[in-house]
Amino acid sequence: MHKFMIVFKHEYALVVKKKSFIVGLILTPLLMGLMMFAPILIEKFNEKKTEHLAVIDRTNLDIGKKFVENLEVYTLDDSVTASFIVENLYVIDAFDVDEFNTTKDSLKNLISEGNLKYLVVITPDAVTTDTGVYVVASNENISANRKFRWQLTKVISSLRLEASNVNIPIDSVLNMTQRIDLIAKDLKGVTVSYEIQLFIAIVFVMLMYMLIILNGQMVMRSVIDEKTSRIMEVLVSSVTPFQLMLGKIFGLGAATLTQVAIWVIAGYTIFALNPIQSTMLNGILTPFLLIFILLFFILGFLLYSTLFALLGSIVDTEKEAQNFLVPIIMCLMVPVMLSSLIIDDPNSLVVRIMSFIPMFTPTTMVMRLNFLFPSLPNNSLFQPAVLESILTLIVLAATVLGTIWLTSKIFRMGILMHGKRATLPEIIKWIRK
Amino acid sequence: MLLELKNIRKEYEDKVAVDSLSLEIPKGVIYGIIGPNGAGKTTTIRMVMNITVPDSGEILFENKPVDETFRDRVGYLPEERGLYKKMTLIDVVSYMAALKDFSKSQVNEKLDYWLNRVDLIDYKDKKVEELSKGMQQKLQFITTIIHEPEIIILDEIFSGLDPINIEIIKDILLDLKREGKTILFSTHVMEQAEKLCDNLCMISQGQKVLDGTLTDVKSRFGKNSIQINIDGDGKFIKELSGVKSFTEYNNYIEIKIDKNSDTNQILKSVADKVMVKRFEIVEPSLYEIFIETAKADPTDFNGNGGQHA
Repeated sequence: MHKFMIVFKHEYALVVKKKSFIVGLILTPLLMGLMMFAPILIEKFNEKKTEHLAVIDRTNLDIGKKFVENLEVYTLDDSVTASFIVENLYVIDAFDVDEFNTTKDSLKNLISEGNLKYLVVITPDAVTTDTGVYVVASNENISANRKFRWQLTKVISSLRLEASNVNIPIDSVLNMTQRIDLIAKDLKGVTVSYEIQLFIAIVFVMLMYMLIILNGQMVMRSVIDEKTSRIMEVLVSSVTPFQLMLGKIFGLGAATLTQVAIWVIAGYTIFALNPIQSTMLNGILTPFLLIFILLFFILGFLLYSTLFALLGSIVDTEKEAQNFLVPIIMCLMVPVMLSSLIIDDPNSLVVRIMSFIPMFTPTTMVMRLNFLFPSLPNNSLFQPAVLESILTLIVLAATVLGTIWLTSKIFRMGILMHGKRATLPEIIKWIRK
Repeated sequence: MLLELKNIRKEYEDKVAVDSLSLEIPKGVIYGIIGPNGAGKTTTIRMVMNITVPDSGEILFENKPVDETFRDRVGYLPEERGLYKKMTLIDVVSYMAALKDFSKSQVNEKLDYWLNRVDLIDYKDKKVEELSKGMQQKLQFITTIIHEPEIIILDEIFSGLDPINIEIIKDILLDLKREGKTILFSTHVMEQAEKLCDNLCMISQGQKVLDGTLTDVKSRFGKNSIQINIDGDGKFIKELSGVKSFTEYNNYIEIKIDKNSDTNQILKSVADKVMVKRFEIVEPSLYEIFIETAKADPTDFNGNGGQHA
């Protein structure tokens, strides 16, 4: 135990004292935050200025005029400045092809010169076909396109209704066809947001995936480094290979978890200062759920760290290890790739079976719990969903212990082997010893 | 006996590395395991260190099987040297010593003394990667002894060291012996072993050829060698009566004679033909003893430092 602590402290200090630790501590959440908020920022930036457009209407049905009027509903953030300004509305007879072409070409020139953003063309058969309207622009803007389409649909649909002699105001028809919001409430009668649940599940799984891989590679590299620098033989003359292995796995793991702890505390503080978001998460992120997520996370973390230590001990170089990395990463990824199954029905047979396969348990359960636990009537341990989760925890914990035991046998021999990769028969022989 | 190996055997897939080897290492001596490359020296030492396990036989430390406490009482320098390249000298030594239950303050007390003795004091706060290979060897030697182990085990002790550094290490080892420490080393460089060890064991092809104290071993073979320095060509000496073997070295000739030969007669015969600068009856060197006893092929010793398993 004493020697374990010396190795533990050494490995921990080795990581925490590095400059890259501080850099990663600050840079990682910064990058993640940037990734999450970048689309919002870009959108905000884009909507800040008024855009100019011209409209050519060849229908003599006043479609252009009504469309231009409707565009006035769009304003910028100050709710006064118009989003769109129509420079000109040309009403051109359907048969006057020459005038249409000249007008269109001159407007196109304006667009290429940058003096105009869009040209909306309403062709003569706009009412009879679904493809009778088009937009000319130097580059496509999805948000403006959507707005134009919505307003044109309103105008043209009402003309179509008139033509078929249905005498209802267009707005009420459109209101009737609008989608209905289906609100989900749990057994306690609290409204749960499905999107937020999914978002949280994905954030947790991605965080777990990222940390397991980063930490695992660190463990593996540390073992390989000590092998190639030939220091291993001195180390095992002072500590047992088992103490060394555990010291490494836990020491490096603790360094990674230190980083996570700092993030969590910082993140929690930010959330606590932001009342809207904290109430949004309150119903879902209960301490009860968090404790379970933490348990699955720690056990998963240990399981994979041990596997990476095992990998480091049987290979000679990091390059050699690459081939073995794929199956390990696959095991982590499979539940993420099958996440639609978990989201569809967190209690389906396939999902239940996956929960009990130790390699899949951590990622599967972390996703599953986000959908299972918020809908529980209470936080008692004695209900089927919770008991099942505890059972998967026990299976996982037993696997972790088994893996550590097995790895220690292979590790003992592997770390002193140089120049070649251990073969499977050799490994089996080591385990039997 | 401080350390005892009883009938040790270790077999690898394709060969027997060590076969029915028994050694007795008394407390307070410098004990050399001597033999050519591939003789089984490293395997033997690794078994003592419990890094590999013998197939049969037993290893006793203070008459008890080697256990966990042995780790803290031994200093071990493996054949394959290595240190943490990115750490500073002081950090490396502190960590290695901590693993032997030797505290940081104890290290601070001793480190300057040892760094001074091996001329590394100016590098104390440098990183290991900034040291030359020979310096790293000396640093690793310090990590082996700083925690004041009772028994020091050094595999291929002289490999990678230049003559000056060999002298430095030799001096330290003799001092440690005076303090009552026990030193077990292996080497394939016989001349160096001869100057250092009290007791020795020669092994060849995994088996013990002979063992005992240095004086014992030498006297068993008697004084039947003569070293001669001459001006001129000494090839004719080969043909003189009573000369059993003849080896020409760079600046002297060594011959072996039959037990009953008249050395005076030989001297006269040589002096008749050439100018004799030195004519000395000497004890046989360990190398010669080994070649004679093990019937070994002298080319086995031409290796560069023992890259065997």
